[in-house]
Amino acid sequence: MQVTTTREDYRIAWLTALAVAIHLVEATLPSPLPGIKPGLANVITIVVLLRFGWGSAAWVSLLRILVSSLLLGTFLSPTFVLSLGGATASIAVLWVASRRWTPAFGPLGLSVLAALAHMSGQFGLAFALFIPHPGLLHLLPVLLTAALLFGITSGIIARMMLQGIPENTP
Amino acid sequence: MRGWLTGADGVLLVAAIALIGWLYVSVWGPSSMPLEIEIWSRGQRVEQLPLAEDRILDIRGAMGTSRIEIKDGQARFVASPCTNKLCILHGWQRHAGETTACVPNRVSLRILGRDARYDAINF
Repeated sequence: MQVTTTREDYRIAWLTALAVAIHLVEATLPSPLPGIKPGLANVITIVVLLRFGWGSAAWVSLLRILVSSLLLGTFLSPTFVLSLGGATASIAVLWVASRRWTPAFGPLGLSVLAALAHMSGQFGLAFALFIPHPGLLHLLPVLLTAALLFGITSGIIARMMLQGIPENTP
Repeated sequence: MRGWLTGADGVLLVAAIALIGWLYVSVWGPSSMPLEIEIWSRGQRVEQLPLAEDRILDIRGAMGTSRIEIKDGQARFVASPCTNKLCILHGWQRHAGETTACVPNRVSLRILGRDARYDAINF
């Protein structure tokens, strides 16, 4: 059987590898609260979205979650479920935000949207599946504040990266 | 900062900050449930009233009439026919879960709210 690969497949694989590397480095950082981490791999998703379109961004984002979980040994664990839920929410929001009929967001706006969606999706899943306790709601504003700040940071980095990548990269 | 934010980005940031601020207030702010006062006499609940409305109540008990005052979101006994007047000395009650009783007259009041404090903590 012959598997034919396209140029785009290679590009997605390379970018996913980059995102996985960032994800793994971040996984070693201690976190003050479960659910809070910088999410710098989000930078790659935003850059891919703005240069190569939503389809590539969705591939890179979901493949990153899958590959990282295999490498970290969290595949199919609650961590993986939350991570996948967050990524799905974030990719869904980015789809809406990158349509022609929605206002034109820049890297900063897209990054903030993705971070907030990721956190909300993850929180919603955690609340629905694992800890359906009203006390958990007290954490939501704190978590969203962290998501907002890290979203802005990622957005700034994404914007700087985009300046280094020409508009029509093959 | 030119070129860093599109108009949509700016609107989004303001909206996100407003939303998170509102979440803080609604989740961490004071309990929105108004407190109520419950009054018992001779084993029966005789009154349940909002603590926000000032008033003076005369409650018939086993020995005579106890007078309870509700003022500025707090409640106390002002008069009771008992000998020790412990209920009066207990003073104003204002937090959910707090209770004062005139045991000889069998009249008690209790503050009701969503987040009741503990009656007692045992180590």
